[in-house]
Amino acid sequence: MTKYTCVLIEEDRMVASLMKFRLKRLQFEVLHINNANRQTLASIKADVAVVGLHANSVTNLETLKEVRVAIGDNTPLVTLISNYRQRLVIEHNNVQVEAFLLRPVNLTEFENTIVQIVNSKAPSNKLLS
Amino acid sequence: MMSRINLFSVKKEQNTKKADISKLVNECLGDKEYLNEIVVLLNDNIEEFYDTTEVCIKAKDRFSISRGAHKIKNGLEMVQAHVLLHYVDLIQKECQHLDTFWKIQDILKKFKIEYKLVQDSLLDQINELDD
Repeated sequence: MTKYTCVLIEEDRMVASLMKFRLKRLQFEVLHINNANRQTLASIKADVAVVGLHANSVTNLETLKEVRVAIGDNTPLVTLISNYRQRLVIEHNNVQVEAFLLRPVNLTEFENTIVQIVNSKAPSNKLLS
Repeated sequence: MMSRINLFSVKKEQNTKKADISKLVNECLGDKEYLNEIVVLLNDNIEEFYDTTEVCIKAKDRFSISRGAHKIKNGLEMVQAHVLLHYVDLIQKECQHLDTFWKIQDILKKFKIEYKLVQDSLLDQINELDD
């Protein structure tokens, strides 16, 4: 069975745990990273990366840019945002993001987005949703 | 003889639950073991919030108290603990004012009492789920 790797950068342990639970059902190996150990990111070869941004943080854009550099241009990046304005800021700064999901995250929508992204990246190894 | 209905004696069916896991059950696809794990995580977060708030009250750091309160909101929303969410809102409102640390302490005391009831309610609801 095909196994995919997802890197999950999310500070909220409960949200991260729920996402991990849902992705594991879809043959994903989920590596949960928090902001403190973000430097390990470059050594991981992931099929998709998920980054959770928070409403009150002033370092969101820097975090996202740092993650994009660490994972490279070929790994799709899914970003969890707290409001629509965050998306506009990210787009204006030309950070390559494959999908945005608004908090509170609907887990079914989350699953579908990840599956769609992984399938479009590796169509020969299609993952069933 | 005409019978009378005492309208004051007609009670509405009230939702007396301190928390409601139905939303979370859907998210966890009914996995009981996993639900217990989520409750453990919630407990950890709340304990962390208690510690942070106690320290920050002593240090008179209202911004950190507000930040700590914000962090637990999502978890409380997941279990639909509305009374606790109300207390969190009150704490955050008090953090906007100077020298209201005694009020925050008072709300925190009420929060702790309510959280014990919420914990019991959560465990009861998980136990009631069919295996």
